[in-house]
Amino acid sequence: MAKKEVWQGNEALSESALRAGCRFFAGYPITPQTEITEYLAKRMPQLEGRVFLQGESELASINMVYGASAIGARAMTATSGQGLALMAEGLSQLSDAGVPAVVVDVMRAGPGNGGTESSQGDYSFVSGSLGHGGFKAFIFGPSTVQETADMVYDAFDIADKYRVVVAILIDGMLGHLIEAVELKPFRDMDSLPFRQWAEKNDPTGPKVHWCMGPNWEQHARDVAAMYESWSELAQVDEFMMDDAEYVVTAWGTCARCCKTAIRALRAEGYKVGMIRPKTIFPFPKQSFAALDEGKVKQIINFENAIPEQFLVDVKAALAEARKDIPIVSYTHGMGTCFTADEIEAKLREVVK
Amino acid sequence: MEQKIYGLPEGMNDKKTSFCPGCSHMAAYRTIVESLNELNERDNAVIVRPIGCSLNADYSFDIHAIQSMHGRASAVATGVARMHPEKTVLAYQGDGDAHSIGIAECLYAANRGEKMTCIVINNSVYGMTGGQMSGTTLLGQRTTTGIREFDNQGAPIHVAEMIAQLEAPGYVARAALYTPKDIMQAKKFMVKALRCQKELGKYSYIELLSFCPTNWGVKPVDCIKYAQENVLPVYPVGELKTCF
Repeated sequence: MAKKEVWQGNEALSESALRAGCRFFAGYPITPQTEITEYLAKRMPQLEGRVFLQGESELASINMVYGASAIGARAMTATSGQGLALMAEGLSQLSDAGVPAVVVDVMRAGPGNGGTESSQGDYSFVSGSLGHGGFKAFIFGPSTVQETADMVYDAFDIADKYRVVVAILIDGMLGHLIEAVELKPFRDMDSLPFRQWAEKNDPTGPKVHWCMGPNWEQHARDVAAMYESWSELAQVDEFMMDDAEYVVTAWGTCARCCKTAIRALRAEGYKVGMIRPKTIFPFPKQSFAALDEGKVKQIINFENAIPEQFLVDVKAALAEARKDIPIVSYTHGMGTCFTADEIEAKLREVVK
Repeated sequence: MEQKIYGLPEGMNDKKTSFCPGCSHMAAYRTIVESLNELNERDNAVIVRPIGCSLNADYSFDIHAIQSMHGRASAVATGVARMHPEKTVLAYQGDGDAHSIGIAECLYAANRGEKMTCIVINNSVYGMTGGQMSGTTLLGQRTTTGIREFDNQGAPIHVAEMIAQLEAPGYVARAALYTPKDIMQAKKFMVKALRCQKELGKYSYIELLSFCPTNWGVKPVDCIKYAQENVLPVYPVGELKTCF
């Protein structure tokens, strides 16, 4: 077992991406993502066959990623909300053309210019449809630096396997958090999956990269079926759920603060648990379908977004499973985030 | 005895396209394909296509192609060129594409000296959407979004001249696809542009002045005269920067 090392979230993510085989990165500075671009600018030239490029904008960066990936390289970009908005068109094109990529969104506060403080406000934007047209990304929502590093490592494999965009959704808090982590080893670059479809590898195939097949409508149906098949890939952390009468729903850094609060209440005998989706899409609906209406008295949702975004998925999962359980929701937003103490106080009001 | 002296070059086919009568796009394609053939680079080439009329010749030529979004061809070509510098990388763009919505991507690829050739088809109008004003629309030219006036839209933009004053580009030229003589000159420039990329590893830019009879409101037969009288005085042809 490798030794644990102390890493900042953004930098652990960057190093893990390189170890997973990322050969091309293009990005543009934006707080709180900038450490990713800075780390890769320094690190990639030290490694053979890697290319770092600072784009003139997020628009340019995502399209550089498109070109690099279409020619066969594992490629990634990273940004925050405003930059992701500019990239939306390109991400939609990548999704349609079946050109894989990993995109990291280190969320900051608010719409418009917003602020550079941490937030969970890009949840709906990323999980709804990545850009115009309705195609989706596979989305990870880690809550620790270790999970962030592990998920970005797996993200490249998922992107290659399904020829999709994989999004890593973290926030400024997690990007800047420093923790002890164990990073996975460097992938053997020669062992990476062969991209039969990439321009240089397929002399017999269609010569024009546009969408995946000649029949566009059928292509969309195939993509929709692929999304359905992902339901078994959903990852979830069911925390102290075995006998839970009060179920917290939260994700990312907010869920992490919830854990501290839940432990405190458990120590006093309160039966509190939590469902924490680790993948945002596919959403772990099965955890909600498994809830026992006779046992669970209340669902308590916490998220750092106003109005709620994650709550919409929670309600949809409950409705789909026809579960009638009362829900109460608490929010922070625009740069203010829940603390564990605050969550504990809210939970005490509910369970008393 | 019959002897074939003119036909489609190898790598082009006679599949139907939906270009308007009198359009210059096929002349542009032909210039590119012939030049690549001459340098034996067609199989090694990747062409990044824009959004615009050029889409209408989807399968007319046998070159690996990547379809980009509107204005982003030079950025996509950058990604290709950085990962595979041994390829001959082409960005095929229009004036609306490269000179307006994608001017940042176009200029920055040039300024970085990407190992690619940017080819811009300049017909001074948005063709595919039906004749709206572009950055290169001539003063007084009638479009579906108005007649260009200096006080409202400024003068036609000269991106080739802007690129020529940058340090990194190796070859910058403007040619016309009007008369056979013009097309022969365009071919000569195209070969030089591709050689500059291939042999010297530098960035090349070539602007090809083209007809758009449909959106100019000029009959195809009158286009040469119209273009010579109206376009050439504003957009003179010639080499603006050369590395040979």
